[in-house]
Amino acid sequence: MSLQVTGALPEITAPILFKVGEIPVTNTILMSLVSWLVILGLCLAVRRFSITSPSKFQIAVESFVEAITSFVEQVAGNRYVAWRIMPIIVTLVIMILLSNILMTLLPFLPAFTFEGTPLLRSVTNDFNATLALAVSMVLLVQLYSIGEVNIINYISRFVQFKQIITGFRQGIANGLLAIINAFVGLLDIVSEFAKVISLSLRLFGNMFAGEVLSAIFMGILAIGLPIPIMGLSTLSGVVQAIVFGALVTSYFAGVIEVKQNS
Amino acid sequence: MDAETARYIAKALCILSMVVTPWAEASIARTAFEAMGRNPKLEDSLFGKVIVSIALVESTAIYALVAFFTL
Repeated sequence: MSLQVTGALPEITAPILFKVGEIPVTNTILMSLVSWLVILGLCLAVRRFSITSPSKFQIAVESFVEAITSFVEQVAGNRYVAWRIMPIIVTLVIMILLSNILMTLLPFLPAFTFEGTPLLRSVTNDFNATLALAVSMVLLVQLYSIGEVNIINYISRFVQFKQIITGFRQGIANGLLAIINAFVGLLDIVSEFAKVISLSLRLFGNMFAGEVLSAIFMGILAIGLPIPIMGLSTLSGVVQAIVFGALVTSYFAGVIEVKQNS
Repeated sequence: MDAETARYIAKALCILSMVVTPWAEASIARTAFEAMGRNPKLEDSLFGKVIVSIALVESTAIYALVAFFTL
């Protein structure tokens, strides 16, 4: 009996299984279909909940949703802001949480192979998926921002000509300060792109590191030793889902508060 | 010094920039735990802020990682 399983380390790009016409189908796409089905099943199960006689599953789901909503309210710092963005944040957290931990909760899934490559692979282990999530969230924040203040005010947050003119009308010192603020405003354009990079790479890096780590520990001793590592990667999957939700909430909160202050 | 050597030294410097990140995260966590120890009621309201600030601090290490792989 061999005590070591020296599997190949997972590659950064997801392997292509087959092509439908011109579109390559990777194993992360199949896994995302599976997690959609799981979420759809959860939705159909939630529809059957009853108010008068709650089951154990209903209580678990309700306490989970309660925990997420109170967390979003805390991070947003404001009930009005929190409930405006609540649907998208809760959807995001549930989706990322399921795609992070479905693979470690069901460790037999990679055993299904198709011509040597595993048929399923965790969704967030593909950089395309996390990049798509981050780009769409940051774009949505910009759209909300344009919706809150109109588009001229939105652009003048980054390119601050108007503030410089009003600053020099008030005096030389205010004018110089406004010039410094204008440079800070230009830097904000860079920070919007940095948000995309940090959001997507944080999620991808943590999930991918977990998979590499468990592959390495399988090579050291395949009995018992990988279990705590898999537990650790499950924990980091939960934490990263919460972190993603919290960061997107704080970006939204920073944008929506602008209207309430002015 | 040829170009390849310079590349490896630059990669090492990128890794060096990650040295401070764990210290910064630890100092956030330490301060948060001290605050919770003084006033246990704060625990609920501190959780989200600590998570967000640790994530923001962590992004420095992520930029270093990006620079490491693009070098």
